[in-house]
Amino acid sequence: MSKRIAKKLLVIGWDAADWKVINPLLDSGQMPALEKLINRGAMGNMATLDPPLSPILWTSIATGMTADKHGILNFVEPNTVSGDIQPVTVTSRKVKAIWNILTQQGLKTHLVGWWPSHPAEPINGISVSNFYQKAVGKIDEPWPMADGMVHPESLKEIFAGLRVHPAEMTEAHFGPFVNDYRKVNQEKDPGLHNLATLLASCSTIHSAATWIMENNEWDFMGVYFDTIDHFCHSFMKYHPPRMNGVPEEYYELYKDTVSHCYRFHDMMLERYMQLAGDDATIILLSDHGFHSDHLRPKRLPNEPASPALEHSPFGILCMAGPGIKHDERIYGATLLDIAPTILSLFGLPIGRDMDGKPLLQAFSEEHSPEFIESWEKVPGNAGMHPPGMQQDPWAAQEAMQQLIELGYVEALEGDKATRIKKTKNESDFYLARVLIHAKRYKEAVVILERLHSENPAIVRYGLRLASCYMQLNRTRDLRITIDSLRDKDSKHLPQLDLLEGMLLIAENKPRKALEFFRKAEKSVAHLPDLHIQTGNVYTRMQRWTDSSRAFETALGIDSNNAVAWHGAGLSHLRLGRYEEAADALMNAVGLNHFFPEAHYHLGESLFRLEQYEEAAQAFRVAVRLVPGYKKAHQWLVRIYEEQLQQPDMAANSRKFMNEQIKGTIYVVSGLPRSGTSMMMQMLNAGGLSVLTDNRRANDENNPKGYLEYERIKNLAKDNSWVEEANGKAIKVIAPLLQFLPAGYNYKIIFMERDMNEVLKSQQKMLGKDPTVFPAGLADAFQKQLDRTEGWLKAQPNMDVLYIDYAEVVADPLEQAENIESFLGADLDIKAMASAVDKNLHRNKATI
Amino acid sequence: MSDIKQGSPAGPENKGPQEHYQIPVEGSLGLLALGAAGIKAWREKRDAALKAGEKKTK
Repeated sequence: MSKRIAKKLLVIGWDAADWKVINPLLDSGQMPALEKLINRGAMGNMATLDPPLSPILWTSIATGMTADKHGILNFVEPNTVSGDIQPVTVTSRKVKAIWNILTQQGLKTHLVGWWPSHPAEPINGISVSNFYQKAVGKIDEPWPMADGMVHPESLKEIFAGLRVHPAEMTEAHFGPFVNDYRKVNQEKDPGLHNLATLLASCSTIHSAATWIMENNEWDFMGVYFDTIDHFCHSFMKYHPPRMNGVPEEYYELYKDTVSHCYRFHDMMLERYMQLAGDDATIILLSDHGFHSDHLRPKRLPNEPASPALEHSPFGILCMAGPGIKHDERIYGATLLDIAPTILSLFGLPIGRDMDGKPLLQAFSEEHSPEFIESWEKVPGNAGMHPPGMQQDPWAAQEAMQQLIELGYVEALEGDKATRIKKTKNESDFYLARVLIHAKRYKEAVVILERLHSENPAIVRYGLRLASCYMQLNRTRDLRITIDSLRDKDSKHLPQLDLLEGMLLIAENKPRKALEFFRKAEKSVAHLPDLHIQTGNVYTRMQRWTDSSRAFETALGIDSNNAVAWHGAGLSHLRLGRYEEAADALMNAVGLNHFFPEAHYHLGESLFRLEQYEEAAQAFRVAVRLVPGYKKAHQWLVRIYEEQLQQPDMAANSRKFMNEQIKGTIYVVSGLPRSGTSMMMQMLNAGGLSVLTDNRRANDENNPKGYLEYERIKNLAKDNSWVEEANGKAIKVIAPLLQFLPAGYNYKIIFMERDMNEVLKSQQKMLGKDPTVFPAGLADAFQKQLDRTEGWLKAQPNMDVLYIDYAEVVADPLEQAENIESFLGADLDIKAMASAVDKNLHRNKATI
Repeated sequence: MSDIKQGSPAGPENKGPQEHYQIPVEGSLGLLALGAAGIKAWREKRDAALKAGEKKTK
């Protein structure tokens, strides 16, 4: 067993807390407790998961697993007793949460309010469920404690007395949240009522958690507050700067309400820090952020869980106490890392089936985590409910009502069966999104194809399906889906134009793609992805001023977008603005540490600024993230040998280069007569050296020459000459690709041409009747192409660009840009384009 | 929010607010932020004041 680092651990969850709101409050001294915690600990962004729905996310935090494994997939679920839907319960969780694992290890473990945690699990300590704080009825009416709200049941009476009813809230409580509460017109403005309700719920959770800490021993204490999230959903629209359409009167009343909510949480935090003591390790975190600026949506679509559109992708993380570094920044943390981190803090092994990693960068001591296959296989009492347990549907009514009021769940309309069907569909949709977030597109497609075919009118299902097809390069299916969605789309969704543009990029038609991006921009300019895609197109065209402008626009919309920072940084770099480049790329890696290209370009920028040590550091990170990152190794060799005079430091990269990578060979491939000679001529004209023995002379079939190399025909038996092709272009027809030796990187331009045209050209070349279509041969060729494509996908050292022959003939300049961008070589694009003779495009498909 | 006192009036000994703090009958955010101890102290004060009011009325 590893060393236990934390004597005791307090985990505080602030749903939706966001540094963007917190930072100004810290700067003005309005969150002194958090300031203290930060100063004696480590802090950073917490990357959320998709979909950003709290019950799913907090279960991922507690289990270290994605939702496909932990099983919590929605705000609601079917109740088999009532035959209706109810708020999601802990009995749907399929795996152990951290408190179950700690219970199993005999640690004293308490939990309050976690979402979902009802019915309270029989852990080794006290568990208070997330239904506990919801008030029922008026102050003088009975407020019973439903079964399952508290474990152990013997504490039911005490916890009943710890609750705070909204009617107990006085002006002294809710008054400070509003600038002049006396001006609130309670006839038509529910603001004060909402405030009192939220404050009472929050105080109930706090009361229960503090009582536990005051009266019980503990190793682990977890407490979760939904208050910031709920306050933000009600009052963020009034937060400064004033949004268009918000009446002055309301703005003046509520403009500080969100800030006051954070300050109240800071006061509660102070109490937790006191009760925990200096020997406790504390983790404070949120599951996502909340847009507080111009990214606040002006209106929400009428669909389930639409309030989640107000969530932003980065929450907060702060760790402090014994075992945690002081004044340290944590990079690259995700929600999935919390459970493995907690296990490491207690010196316990991490399950290999967990999806996160321990945040060792925050630990003050060296720590080597241990692993086990899975905690699910560890026998013993883990304080869980028996399988198949179903909870009383009536206990859930108040929680259900709150979900409806918050807009997370639709009002209960229609019959029960319809509601259950809708819930099942939404849960499946969220599961598909979980899989997409994990880049498991094939599995997501299976779910989304069913949802889309059964519910063609629900455009969001089709849009997600289309983006999966995009990722899988299933361009034909993507085209069909986009067309079918366009038929349904009465509002003209800009997302469709965005997808269409991306499809065109996949088809190597970036100029046409730009037209769609511009069209989308006209109807909705606030999608950062739109400007990022535009920037990517300009990057391919090496139009750096334009790409810089597009990425800056994306950043104006979302300054937390690492991809946009990288694009802006690369544009600055190519424009020779090295300081701006380095700043932008620092932001990119700060937001997403696991971004090797951004580290690479940061290294290049720092090199240009003659900051060689720092540049080497950036390249080292790139290599650590992608050990086979050849160009980064090349830079390291150059910097250590030439700039820093540390040849010993260059040794590793030099060794890697010598052993692993002999060089890059540029290959033109495809079927015979698919345009491979034309492509060789383009590369040759562009300035790329070509390996040819010129044995095959030009003829009427190829008046400009074949540019072939005789020995290639014998490649299957003899590849000893391949070294001659290093750094050069060579023609290798498709069936021979598999005989290229390992040890080189290959950049393959694969020519595609209409099969009829290919066969007609071949027939003619062989002196056969070109009007006779050899169907058997066409079938054999097609199978060969499919096999080759599948094989190429599995080759780590082969990058492939598929180029359509007809597209080259139609727009040689655009294709020359695509090819140059793909090869990453400095070629003369205009010369490449001028090597294409449109008159040679003769054998059009007329068979 | 000028009437909110930052920090806990209960002090590190966690003895509750009574010894250190004048409890307002109408309560305060500071007392709520103290958690169970603060709420208990406030309720006692509030209920005592209510009882005293009832006696006066009688």
